[in-house]
Amino acid sequence: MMHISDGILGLPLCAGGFAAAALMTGIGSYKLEKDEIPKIAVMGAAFFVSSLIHFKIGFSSIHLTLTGIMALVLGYRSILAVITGLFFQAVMFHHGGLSTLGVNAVVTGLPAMITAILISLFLKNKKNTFYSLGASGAAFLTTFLSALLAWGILSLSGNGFSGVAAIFSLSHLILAGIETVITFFVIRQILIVKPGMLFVPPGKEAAPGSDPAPGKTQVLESVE
Amino acid sequence: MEPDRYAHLSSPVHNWDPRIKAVCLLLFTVVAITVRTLPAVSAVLLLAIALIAFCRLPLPFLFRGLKWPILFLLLMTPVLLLTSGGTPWLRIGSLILYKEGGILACFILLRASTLLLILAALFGTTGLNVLMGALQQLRFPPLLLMLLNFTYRYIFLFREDLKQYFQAAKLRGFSMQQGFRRIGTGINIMTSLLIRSYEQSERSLEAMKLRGFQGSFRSLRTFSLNKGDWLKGLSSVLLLLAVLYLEFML
Repeated sequence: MMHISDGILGLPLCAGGFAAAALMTGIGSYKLEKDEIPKIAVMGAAFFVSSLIHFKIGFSSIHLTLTGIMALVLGYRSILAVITGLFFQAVMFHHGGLSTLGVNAVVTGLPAMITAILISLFLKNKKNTFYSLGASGAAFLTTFLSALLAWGILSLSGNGFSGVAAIFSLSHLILAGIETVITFFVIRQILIVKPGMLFVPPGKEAAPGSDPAPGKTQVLESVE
Repeated sequence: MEPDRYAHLSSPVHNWDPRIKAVCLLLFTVVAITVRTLPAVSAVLLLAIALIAFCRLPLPFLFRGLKWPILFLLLMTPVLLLTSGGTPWLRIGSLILYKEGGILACFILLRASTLLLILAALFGTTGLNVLMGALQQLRFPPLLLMLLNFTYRYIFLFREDLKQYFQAAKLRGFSMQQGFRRIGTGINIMTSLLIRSYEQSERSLEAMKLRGFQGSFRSLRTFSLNKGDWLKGLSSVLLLLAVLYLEFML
């Protein structure tokens, strides 16, 4: 995934991004229990490291954002993991930037939060295959909305960015297709092995098939 | 991947109190993204270069960090030249390069270089754990600090886990070349990492509860200010005000 780099946006957009990210963080941390903090941080680190895996496609390679899967695992709290992930991407790899951290948090985190809400409304108590298909649709939606937001923000920067905005958004759309497929298979495996790790909004029922069936941990053992 | 690898060195910026350093470099960032005239943008870049010179960080380390972002921005230059519109500058066949696109590309490159140098100066001279302690004393939101602390610890752990998974897979004939079967193995490895990370998070929480975790961290690190810290801070602020004068008054 490409983030908006330092230097592209001016003060008004950067400040607006931080304000919006602060609001989203407030929503994401609403009624946050102290027990959830290690989970969000550890899963955030896992997603950060997982996004470093490169998949070779033709003559190029891509690395995924996994924001769709993050939305399924962390729900609307995924914004907290997104912000920490973006921070470390900016600091460790100079990917994105600190001045554009707020804007990138909105571009990546807002679609994840929207998707998490839609999932909790439409996918609860669904069977594994339907849930996986819904999850992959959610991943496509997340990346598609990120592309739209990025296009909008770059277009707001000025007329000179119209070409850059178009290329940026097109690359996101291509990524959306790939993420859709990969999310289907990842969620399908999680539903078999550890369905309890999928996000359950407070007060709702557990994810489909909460207790993994005996003997279904073979998937992990076969990797090592 | 370790931005604070040389944080143990000694220089005027290394020895600067991290709290004042963080505030001043934040102000520097704000000024850098505010200025829009060429003299002011050039002035902030010169200030950033001077700051990096004072840091005495190894040049290969700096180049490694700056190489890819600058390259990405250079790749954006032809797109800006061709699509910005405005005053035609050069015609190559049927392609028209626009003057406004060239100016915008130069402007972005100068500003991005400034911001990257500021980032390198802050995180190259201050250990991340020290910086977290400084931000805690500056009343940074404690939830975000805790998340950053936790995440930082586990990134390196999971990176090692990922290396082991790929090593184990390679010993069984796997390689990340094109092919659906191999992409499938990559997906399996990613899923294993996510599931084991989730289980790790549950164990970490239980371990922390057993050690009295109440939902917040207390840092025992103390900082002390001296005249040199205040002098550096004051000098920084005055220089930034001079840049703003250049931007708005001249």
